[in-house]
Amino acid sequence: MSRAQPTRKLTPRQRRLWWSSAATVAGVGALAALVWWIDRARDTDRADARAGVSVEFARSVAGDSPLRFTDVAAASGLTMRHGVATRHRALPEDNGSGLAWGDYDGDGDWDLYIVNHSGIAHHGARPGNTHRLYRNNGDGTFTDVTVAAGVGDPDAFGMGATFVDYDDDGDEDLYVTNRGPNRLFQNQGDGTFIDVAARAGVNDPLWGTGTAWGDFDRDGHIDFYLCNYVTYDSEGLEPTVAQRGAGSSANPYEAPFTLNPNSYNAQPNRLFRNRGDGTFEDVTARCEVANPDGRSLAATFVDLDGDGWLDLFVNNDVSPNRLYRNTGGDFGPDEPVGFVDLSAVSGIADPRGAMGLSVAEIGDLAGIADGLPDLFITHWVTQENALYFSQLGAAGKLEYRDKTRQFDLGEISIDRVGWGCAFVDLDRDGRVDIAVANGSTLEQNEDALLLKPEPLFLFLNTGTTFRDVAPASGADAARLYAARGLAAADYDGDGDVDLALSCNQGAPVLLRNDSPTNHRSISLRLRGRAAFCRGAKVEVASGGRNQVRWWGADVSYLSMHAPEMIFGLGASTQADRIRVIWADGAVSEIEHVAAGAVTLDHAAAKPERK
Amino acid sequence: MVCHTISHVDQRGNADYVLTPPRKYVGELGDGAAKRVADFLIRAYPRQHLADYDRNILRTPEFCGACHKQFIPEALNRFGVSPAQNQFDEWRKSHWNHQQDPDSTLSCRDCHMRLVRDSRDPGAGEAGDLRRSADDGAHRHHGAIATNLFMADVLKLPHREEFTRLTREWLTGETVIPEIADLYPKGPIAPLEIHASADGAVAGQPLELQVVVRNRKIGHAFITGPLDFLRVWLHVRVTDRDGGVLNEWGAIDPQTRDILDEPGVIHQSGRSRDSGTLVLEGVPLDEAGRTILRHELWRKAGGTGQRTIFPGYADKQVYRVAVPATVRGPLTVTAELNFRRYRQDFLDRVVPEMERASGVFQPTITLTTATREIEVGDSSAAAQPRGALAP
Repeated sequence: MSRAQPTRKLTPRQRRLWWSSAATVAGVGALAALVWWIDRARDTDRADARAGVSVEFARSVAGDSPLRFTDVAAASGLTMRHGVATRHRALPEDNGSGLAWGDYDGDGDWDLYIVNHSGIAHHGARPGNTHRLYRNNGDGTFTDVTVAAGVGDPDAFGMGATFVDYDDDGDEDLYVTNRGPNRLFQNQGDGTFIDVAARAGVNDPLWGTGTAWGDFDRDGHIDFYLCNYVTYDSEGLEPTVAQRGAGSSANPYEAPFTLNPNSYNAQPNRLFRNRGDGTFEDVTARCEVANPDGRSLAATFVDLDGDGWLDLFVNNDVSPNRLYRNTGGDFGPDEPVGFVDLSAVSGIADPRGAMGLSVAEIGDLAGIADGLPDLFITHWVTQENALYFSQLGAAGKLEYRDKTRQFDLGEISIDRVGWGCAFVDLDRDGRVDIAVANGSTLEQNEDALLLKPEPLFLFLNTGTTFRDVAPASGADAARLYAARGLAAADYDGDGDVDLALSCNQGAPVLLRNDSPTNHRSISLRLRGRAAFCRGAKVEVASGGRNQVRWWGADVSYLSMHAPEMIFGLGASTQADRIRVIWADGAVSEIEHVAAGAVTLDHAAAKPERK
Repeated sequence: MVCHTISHVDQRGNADYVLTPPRKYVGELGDGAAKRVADFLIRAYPRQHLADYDRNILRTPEFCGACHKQFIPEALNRFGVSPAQNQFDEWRKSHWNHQQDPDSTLSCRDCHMRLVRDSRDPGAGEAGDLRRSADDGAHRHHGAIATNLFMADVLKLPHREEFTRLTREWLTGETVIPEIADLYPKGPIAPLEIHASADGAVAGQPLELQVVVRNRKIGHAFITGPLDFLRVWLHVRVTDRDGGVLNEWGAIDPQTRDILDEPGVIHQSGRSRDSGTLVLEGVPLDEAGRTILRHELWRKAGGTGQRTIFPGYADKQVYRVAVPATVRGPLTVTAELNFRRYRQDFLDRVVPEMERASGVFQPTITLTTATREIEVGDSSAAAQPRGALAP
């Protein structure tokens, strides 16, 4: 039972107190609500999370370019297509093939040989692709002379090619590496070739890739080193057309093991010594340069330490690179030439996936212009390219410093798979630039039968660093390519460097250099036995700068640049001095050389001073 | 806490970040009553705390990449850039990353910092985070569950049992992360396939097996990190009908606890291609070409024997079985993919007493197992053409 409470009246003072308290509470509440609302409005959770992320490497891409390139391949008659229309997801196909410039007919302009294959045999009918030899007509066009020349080789699974006069008869022969027996096409001097590889003892049956040509024993005959890659023992095990896209938990993307070079054992390389009678002797074991655990893709003979003997550098895929120092000069003329493995002690035993290899002296960029070869190496995706500067220590120890990042070539190349490359002066300003053919080996998410194409790099040397100008050098330079081989040549004889690319499952690309510039250049050719030319050191002094390169040492990827060096002169109209130290030590030197074509003959060189 | 004070990163890696110190609450650095006051204020008014410690940049993969992208610079090794671990770019170029399609992308935190539901953390909820909302009542797990399940036990860290359990589940592919279940496959992180001739084995004839390892669920290379001591390897055994072992590769030596390429043959790092079993690893070299055994990577001038698998890709190893003429079939092939946090030789050299003193010996975790039976024909079939290897 409840009792009614008596009603109590508030006094005016109490009423005021009550109202003021209520107003205070309400005010505080309203203030709190306002603070809460403002806070909520200030909520930064949705702000751009990447606002604090910078990508400093972006500065290595230039917004404008002095270069202009135009793809004239189809218009000039280079109309072939490479490989098979449908990939079989096989390593041999995806590694692609190269191309080579050379003057097979001796008419003075550069002809082009493009290597091809018909895909993995196990998968049935093959298109019967052949390599192609295109004769330069001298008017900017080419004629396909493959059949007449006899260098098509439809059964071959082609990889790389080199024009070289191995028999010193005055015309360019052609060595072609295959996944299978290699070919040595001997030039008959009448526009035809005959394969003499078996007779010469150089029809090595392994998976041949790059070659390095040089007279390593200085007997006057050109020798060569053959890179072999891996034993691909999965023919027929490649998944067929299973196309898997990412993004589904039930069906995630899967690349087959047949694309992974690590799945396969490396094959040993070969060193062939030219006997001078048209045959070669395999001296690999004697010289201890087989590099049996290297998955080799490129190699060069060049005098890395300046002692006058050609050393050997080998690019290996997912296995450490090798540097074999030629000790020929150490033990006198009666001792056999030997090689010492200096890979680790020189700092180049790098296990990344190395593809292309270029050589030039660029030490002036880093203030260490020592006159010795520096190296540029292209790598697989996420691995960035390498720019090795040579450095001789106090005790004469040869070492390399990788300054890729210092010169803005590192981060930008992480995204790409680099292949063919060249040290070339694209704008003829007297500074050596770098061209790189890119093309991913990663499959497209939407269609696993397609690889991701990528744009080229055209790294312009600014004098202090490199800038990629490809995106601003014309639509054809900015396009995406599944590029592999890269070979440079002044094919149209206008004094600048043009670039040819081989592309997987596509047509070749011929990027004609149409850059508007007043810069002039020296186009230098050497005349003499291949043994004297290959590895010759060429110095061109002009405008206070000394450019140094080595003849035939820039080997790209499965490719060969034209045997003509284009040295830009910048604002100068002449070279102050051209000096050639031939591979046998003889020296040619001329001064005050006007811009244009120059040929130096070994016969007129001064013999090496003993 | 250092991670949470990062305000700016650059994609070049090698710890290329900027730390911005947080503003302090009253008593935050004190102890006792002052600390309790600070804790109260942080919970009562967390805005400033969140602004300083929960920066949006923490949601980006580049934030993780600031440290998970490394190279040895010239200042350390004299030779210039020598690549080290780089999980960031491996992920960035993989099929897990779709730059134009965030909904299809899985990045670092999605897998390694799964959501913890029913969170009482004042920082729970994240409006700007993909697949989350401001009121999802969850925070991200900070255990960064991956492969390190050994040291927690050795150091007797708090909650180590839970940490170890989560890590084991993670390594064996049993972890289910609900918020990414539509993108992240179920099952083993690295499944195995055993390929053998479709015709089976022939008594008295060698049999070739191929074992394929696939990086199926790992967002970066498998393995990644310090390749000089992490180890993943295949243990393959072939037995006859009675369980007799015909061949074995990848067992563990009972005395040294090293990996054996074959019985009695200790695996030499970097030689996994030529013989023995498949070992995912890498071998750093110093400037004299010697193997760096104690993780002194500042001396790294080169490397060799590196074998890892890119996301979505696969690797294979060939095993050749000597099948006796008198064998009783069928043969059973068992392949196990094993993981260890440390190369045993590394522990023995660097912390030789650690395992014994702590009473914790590093475990070997079997990530995946596959088996296959192979029928055995008699030698009269040997003259027949052999079929292709088949899965």
